Amino acid sequence: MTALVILQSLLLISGALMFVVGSIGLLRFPDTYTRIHALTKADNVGLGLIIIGLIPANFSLLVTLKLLLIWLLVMLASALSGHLVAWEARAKQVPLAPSEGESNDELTD
Amino acid sequence: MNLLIDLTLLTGILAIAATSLLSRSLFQSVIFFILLGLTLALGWIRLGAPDIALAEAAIGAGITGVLLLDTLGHLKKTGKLDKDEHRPSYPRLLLAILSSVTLVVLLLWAVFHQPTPAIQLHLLVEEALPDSGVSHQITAVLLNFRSYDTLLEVGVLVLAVLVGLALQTDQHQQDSLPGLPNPLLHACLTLLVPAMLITSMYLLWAGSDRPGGAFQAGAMLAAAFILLHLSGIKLSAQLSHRMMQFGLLLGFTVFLVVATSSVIGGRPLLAYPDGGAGLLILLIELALTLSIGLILLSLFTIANSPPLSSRSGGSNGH
Amino acid sequence: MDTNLIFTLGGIGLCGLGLFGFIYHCHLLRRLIAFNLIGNGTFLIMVGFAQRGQGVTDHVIQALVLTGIVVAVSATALALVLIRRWFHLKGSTQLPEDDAS
Repeated sequence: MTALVILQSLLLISGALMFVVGSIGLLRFPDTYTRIHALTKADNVGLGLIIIGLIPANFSLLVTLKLLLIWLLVMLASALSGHLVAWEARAKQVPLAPSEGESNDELTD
Repeated sequence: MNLLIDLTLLTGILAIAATSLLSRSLFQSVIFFILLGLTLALGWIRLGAPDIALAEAAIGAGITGVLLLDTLGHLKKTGKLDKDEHRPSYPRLLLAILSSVTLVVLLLWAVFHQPTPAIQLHLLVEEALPDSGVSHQITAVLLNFRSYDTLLEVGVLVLAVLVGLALQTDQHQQDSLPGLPNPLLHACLTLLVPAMLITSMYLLWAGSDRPGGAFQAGAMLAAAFILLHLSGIKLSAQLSHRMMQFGLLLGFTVFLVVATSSVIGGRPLLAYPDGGAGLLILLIELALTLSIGLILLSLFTIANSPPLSSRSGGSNGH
Repeated sequence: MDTNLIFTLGGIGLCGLGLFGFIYHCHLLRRLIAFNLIGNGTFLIMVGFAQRGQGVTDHVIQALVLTGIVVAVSATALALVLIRRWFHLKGSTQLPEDDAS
């Protein structure tokens, strides 16, 4: 029991840390493309860790399937939105490492 | 522990709200406003209101956000959006601070002098629940106990759409999306849109005995419609004009017909016949879901299409 | 300090911030955001207030707030239509009264 709790808390904490890392990347990286990379990758891994950590909490098949479905949908959505932002950025010819400010305005969704 | 979560959430909400108000860039304000909607949804969960959390996440964060972003893109594209034209004038700042502090003090005073309520509403709801035809309290309140309010509220929605349509001078002018169609977007849409439609119907069905119902389902439906609209598949162009109008009014009409038919039967307005309440509520909810979805979509497309002049562009999304 | 009281206070904070922004800003879009903040604050106060007195979840007030959110989004959409029209006709995102100040 206690080993499981320790494992769970490790998973949850590392998941939260991944989110923190992703957010730091969003703030610190110089241009749009690297920011997308930081956000989508770190957040998918973070969410995955949190969901794996949540599953053993009170195990039931239905809840597990729902949690996995949520993960799948979020991954799909974040992959799609990351792709769209990059697509638009390329279409508008946003340079690779622009000067500060103005860089990720315009690009949304 | 719970106290810690609540206080963190509260600090987050207030900080995000302040940022969205005071941020220099308007784009940032809108993004923070969307973030506020999501954080508020968490707050609603903490308050024991999953129904409101669902609606807030779908409407407050999703649809309001899309509307604001779209308008912002339109303003940026069509005009010289003046950088930051408000010069802080001191009288105005003083007035703002003074009035908001007064409001906060008054509200705080009200909170700490709150009288004990004379009527225990939740006990009344529990007592009457078996007669309502559904087993989820909020649906019972919305469509049975206080259905009068809901009827008028749907009327307000219809009115908003009518005013919007009246302001829209040129009906057939739609924006065309700039840029190429994106193959990945369309591949994902074929996965996402059916999932959204199923979720919407599930929410509608679930409303009878657990959180969910016509409003959340309608919001979900509208989100699916708006997603389709933004990726270039114009539902409003596919449907005929008359069909669209019919869909907009369907929910209100069905509701009104059910309400008045009970008068003809000799009962007071909006009193359901014995035993038939569950079925009638489901019927009203079905019509309402479709109408709310279409109403929110048309409010979006009305905002989306430029009035009169033939100007290209106007939407900044996908 | 229970959850309901905490969120009531949060709602009061949101109302205060919203009113400040509503008076302070001239840009119509910013005013609309401030207006929505006031709305959200009001919803929080309503639910927190009603539930604090009784100590249980109050479904009547929750249903009222639920419909309120839907009305709020339709009002926002209408305001955005009006703002666009104004911008299209006058080329400004402020009201004329604010230009003078």
